[in-house]
Order: sequence, then C-alpha cells, then structure tokens
Amino acid sequence: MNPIVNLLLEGTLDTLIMVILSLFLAYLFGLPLGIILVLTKKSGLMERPKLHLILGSIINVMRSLPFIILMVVLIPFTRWVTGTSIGVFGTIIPLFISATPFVARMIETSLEEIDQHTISAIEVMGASIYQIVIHVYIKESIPSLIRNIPIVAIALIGYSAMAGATGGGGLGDIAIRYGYYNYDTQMMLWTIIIIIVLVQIIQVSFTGLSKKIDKRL
Amino acid sequence: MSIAFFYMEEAMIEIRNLTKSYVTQENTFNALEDISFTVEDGDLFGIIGMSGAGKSTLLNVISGLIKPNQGEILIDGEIFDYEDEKRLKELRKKIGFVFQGYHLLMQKTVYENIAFPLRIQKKNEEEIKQTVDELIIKVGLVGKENVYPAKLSGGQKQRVAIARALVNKPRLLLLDEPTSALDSLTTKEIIRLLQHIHKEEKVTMLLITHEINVARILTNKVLVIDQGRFIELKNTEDIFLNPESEIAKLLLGKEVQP
Repeated sequence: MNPIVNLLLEGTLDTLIMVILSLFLAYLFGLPLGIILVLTKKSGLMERPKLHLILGSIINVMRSLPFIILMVVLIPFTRWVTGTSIGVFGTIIPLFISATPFVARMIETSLEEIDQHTISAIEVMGASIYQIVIHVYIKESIPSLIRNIPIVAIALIGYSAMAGATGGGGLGDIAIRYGYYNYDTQMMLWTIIIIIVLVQIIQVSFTGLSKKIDKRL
Repeated sequence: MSIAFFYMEEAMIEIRNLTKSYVTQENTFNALEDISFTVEDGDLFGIIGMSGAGKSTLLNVISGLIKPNQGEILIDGEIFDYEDEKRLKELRKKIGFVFQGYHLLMQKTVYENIAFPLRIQKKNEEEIKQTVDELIIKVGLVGKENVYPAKLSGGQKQRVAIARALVNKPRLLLLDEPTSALDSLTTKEIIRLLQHIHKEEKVTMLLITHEINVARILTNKVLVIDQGRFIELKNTEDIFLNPESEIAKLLLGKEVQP
C-alpha cells in the first residue's frame, strides 16, 4: 500500500483509539461525578453542601489547567500507570483526566434540565434515590446526554492532536512531524481533511441519534 | 351542587396544630400557622385561598415533601413520621398524588408513565399490565398507550396523571390545582372523571384550587385558608350560600364579578 495512505490510516486508527478509550473513561468517571454534583447541591436529594463545594472546586481547578500543561504535569503518573508517557497509551491518561471534569459538568447541566417538581413527584411516589437517578435523571435526560457526547469527543480530538506535540501519536503526531517539522504541506492537509471528516461524522451521527430518541418534542 | 358521600364518620386525614415557618434574612414568616382540621373518609374536600395563602405548602406537608415545624398529621389513623423513611413510603402507597403541571416522564409512554409507581415497587409484569390496562379504560385513554406525553393534550396528560395516581389503589387522592391549566370544556371532563372515580373507587379526595367553580361543583366540604391560617371550614353548599369570613366573601365574590 502507498506509505502515505498507510501512515494516515494508522494515524486515524490511533486517534480513534485515543478518543474512544479516553471518552469511555471520561464518562465512566464523569457520569458518577456529575450525578454526585446534582444530588449533593443545595436542595438536592442528598444535600451535602460541603462535599458539593469541594468537588466543584476540584473540578474547576482541573478544568482551568490547559491540556498541554496537564499532560506534562501528569507524565510521572502516566508513566506509572501505562509504563510510557508517549504514544497512544501514554496519551490516553492525560486525555481522559482532562475530559473527566468537563464531562462531569456536562452531565450536571443535562441533569439539571429535569424539572425539580418532576423529581419531587417521583419522590413522593416512593422511589428511592437510586431509582430517581436511573429512571428520572438519566433516562429523562438521555437525549441531552447524547447530544453532549460529540462536544466532548470533538474536544478530545483537538486535545489528541495537541498531544502530537509531545509524541502522543495519532493524526496530530503526523501533522506535527511531517507537516510542521518537515514542511510536508500535503501530509498536513490530509490530516486536516481526515480530522474534519471525523468531526462531521461524530457530530451528525450523535445529533441524529439524539433527535431520534428525544420524545419531548 | 355538591356531592356528599359519607361512608363512615372516620377521619382520613387529621391535621393537628400544624405550623410551618420559613426563616428569611429579615424575619421568620409562617407559611402555615397552627392549622387543624379533619378530612373524613369519603370526603371530596376542597381547600381554597388566595395565591400565597399556604395551599401548596399545606399539600406538600401532607405529602411529606416538607417537614412541619410543629403539629402532626394522621393519615388513615397513622401518624406521619417524617423521620422514618420506610414507613413514610408505606404510608405514601395509600395516597395518590396529582400534581400541578402533571409532571409526567417525557421519555416514557402513557402506559409506562402509569405503570411507573408499580415498576419502582418491582411488581410483576402480569399485575402491572392488568392494573394499567384497567386504568387506561377507566380514565379514557384507550388507544393512547404507546403515545408519549408530548403528543397529548392538557386534558389527556391530566388523565395520565390521574391514572398514575390511582395505580396503587389509594384510599386518598391529593390533587394540586387539577384543572388550572385546562380550558373550561376540558375542566368539565376532568371534573366528571374525578366524580366518577370518587364514586367508583370510594377514594377520599383532597384538592386545592383557586377556581371557585371547581370547588363548588366537585367538593362537599371547603376549607378556606388565608396567610397560612385556618379561616373557615363548612359544607360546600353552606359556604357558598353563607360565607362568614371576609376572605371567603372576597374569594366567592370574585367569581361573581370577574
């Protein structure tokens, strides 16, 4: 196969692996965090103002760190977990750690769209907090939750490209190495085109899915 | 016209010296102040009052959403213990709630909305189906089982809310402004439905409303409250013929001269 095509395919695959895995991990940790934020807020179902404040502050601090700095700061930790701080797996750790607080806030915003009176209504029917979280908070806000996935995924594509600057692998790595350091404009253009196509596919498919399952309209 | 059903002279709700106060930055104000009254078994009991009179607070206290500062509530002879979550849940099964604004789950069908209270109690599928199918017929929603609430009219949504409230076969139904969002024709239909349910299910109803006509047609007793205080409690006919308090006169007069 054409070496350029081969390289681009590999880069695309690496980017997809990085984005999908870190997206998965970010939701794995961000979803419970977002739920805890909503439950512990003032007049929430498990009102714990102090916990809410501490958690909110940590999330804010994490979100204020620029990704490129977070990546450098996390190098020892990343190396400890994955054995490497470069390449696809060395990038996943800082990617998901930077996306988790973002996801937590997104989840929080989605869940807060649910009318407080509906929550009360379900509460007096005898539902437990767990049941309210599953059946009301999550199931009722699924269209909104799905609509938010591409926002995170696209941000992660951007971050993963940035990780290319420190040898992160993927399309960003190719763009930097070939396009920037070697003045290979053609390669640079190809990476840009692939990223644009990826972003479009993600956005269109998730928006479509969200519309399809949204019964509120 | 009022309908008086007195099956037994037994108290369904007994409210004793209920006080609920809120502390604001400047002062403490009483949303409810030393209110006592009894709703008999079989009553169609209306609570009327101006906006901000404390009607909603009263209903929220009775449903256990708000804890009173003082006083107690007995439902069907059992004290409402706000601390004991488990017993509160058991007690709530005896009560059906119809909330202002329906509060249906928008991502669930009509069928699933009505079935929801049974689902959270982990009832078996057969029992759920039988109960829900019966209720769908009763409230006149046949053919709408698989429709989502967003596609329903206000009256249909209210029918779903009423069916959902009846799913545990409650002895008491609490209704918060059940017709306030509906046009006059739909209001009449819902009133007819509630009258039918009251008769068929022998369920005691307590409703708060600011629509005097609804109280007049639907209830057999009316309690007037104002600024969180008990003003007067009478049979509906009596209060409409002969309101004693200024506030009752005002409330009823408003209806005559809009």
